[in-house]
Amino acid sequence: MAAAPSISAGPRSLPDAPGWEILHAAVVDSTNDRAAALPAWSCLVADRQRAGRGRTGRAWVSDPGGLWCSAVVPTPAPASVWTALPLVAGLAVIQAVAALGVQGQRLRWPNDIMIGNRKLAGILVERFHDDRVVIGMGLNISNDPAREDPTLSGIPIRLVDLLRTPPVRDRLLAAILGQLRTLHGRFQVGGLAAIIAELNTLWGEPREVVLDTHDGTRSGRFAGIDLTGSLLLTGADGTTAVLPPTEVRLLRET
Amino acid sequence: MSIKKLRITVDGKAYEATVEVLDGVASAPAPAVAAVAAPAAPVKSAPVAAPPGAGSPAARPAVTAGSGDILAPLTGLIVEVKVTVGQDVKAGDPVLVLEAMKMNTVIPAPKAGKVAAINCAKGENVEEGKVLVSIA
Repeated sequence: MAAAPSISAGPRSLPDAPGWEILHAAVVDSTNDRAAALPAWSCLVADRQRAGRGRTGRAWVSDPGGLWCSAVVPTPAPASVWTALPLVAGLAVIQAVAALGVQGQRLRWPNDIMIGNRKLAGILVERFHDDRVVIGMGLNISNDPAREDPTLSGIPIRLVDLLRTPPVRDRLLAAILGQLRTLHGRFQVGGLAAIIAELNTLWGEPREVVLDTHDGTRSGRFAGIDLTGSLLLTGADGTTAVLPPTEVRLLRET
Repeated sequence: MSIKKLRITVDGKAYEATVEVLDGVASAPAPAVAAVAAPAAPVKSAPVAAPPGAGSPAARPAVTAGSGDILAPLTGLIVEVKVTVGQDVKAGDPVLVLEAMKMNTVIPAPKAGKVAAINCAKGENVEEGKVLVSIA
C-alpha cells in the first residue's frame, strides 16, 4: 500500500484552524490508515471512504456529503493519560458543532455524538506510532448513510436534518480542528481535570446502560466520569459503582 | 510530600502549575502536569505506580531482551492480527491491533524475524502482559 495519500489538494491551511495542514483526497480506503504516515497537526479529508472503520473493526459508511477526516496530534505526555484522548476529541467536535448552531447534542461514552438516539458523528482514535495519535472523525452533513446501508435506517442523523443552512464542509472542519488544537493544549497541561467539568455537562439525562467489561456486564444509570476517567454507574439501590475506563469495552444504552 | 512549582510552555504559551508529589509518585488528579515533573520516561515503565482507574500507559510492549515475545501493553480486545505464523517481519512492522476504550493501538514487531507463534485471536479479550505473538 502506498505510504502517501492520493492527495488531490494540499497541503493548505484554513484561517480558522491555525497550525493545521489540510490534505484532501477524493477517495481513500480509510483516512485513518492514510494519516498514519502524516506528521502531527496534519489532517486528511476525503470526499468518501471505501473502507471506513468504526469501532472493533466494524464498517463506517462514508458516502459523499459527509465529513470524513483524520487529524494527527502529538501524543499527550505522559503516555498514561492518552487514554482520555477520545474524550478530548468528542468534546472538541461537540463544541465546534454547537458553535455552528446545533442544539441538543449529547455525548455517549466515550465519544459518540448523538442527537437523542440518533448518531451525528463518530470518532475512532488510533495509535500507529509512539509520538502521535490519529483521531478519525466521521460526521454526517448532507450524506445519506442509510441509503448505502439500509440496516442503518433510523440511526444516523445529519446536519441537514438539524440546520436550515448547514455549514460547508471546510467551515465545519476548521471549527473542529481549531477546537481540537485548543483542547489538546489544555489537556496536555492540565489532564482530564482541564475538561472534566465541561464533559460532565454533556452526557444528557442519566440513562440506563449496560457496560461490557472484561469479566461480564454491569448495568445501571450512567452518571458521568470522575477525574481518573472512570465511569460512574448508579445502581437501583442508589449506590455508585466506579469502573476504570480500561476495563469497559463497550457501553450500550438500553 | 513535596510541592513543586513549575512553568510549562506549550506552543509558546507559559502555564504555571503547582504539583504535589506524594511519596515520589505523581498524584492522580492532574496526571499530565505531575508527570512533567517526573524525570523518568513513563512510556517504558511498568504501570506499578498508576492509581486505579488512571488507565494503563499505552507503552511499548514489554519485551524481554532477545526473546521476541510481544506482550499485551494494555488490557483490551484484539481487533486484528496482521501476521501469520511463518511470516517474516521487520522491526516496526505492524503485528496486532488492540482496542481499549474505543482506541486502537497498533503493536509493532520489536525486532526483525519470523513469526514463530500467535497466541491470540481476533475478537479475543486479552489481559495486559499476556504474550500475544512470538517472533523468533
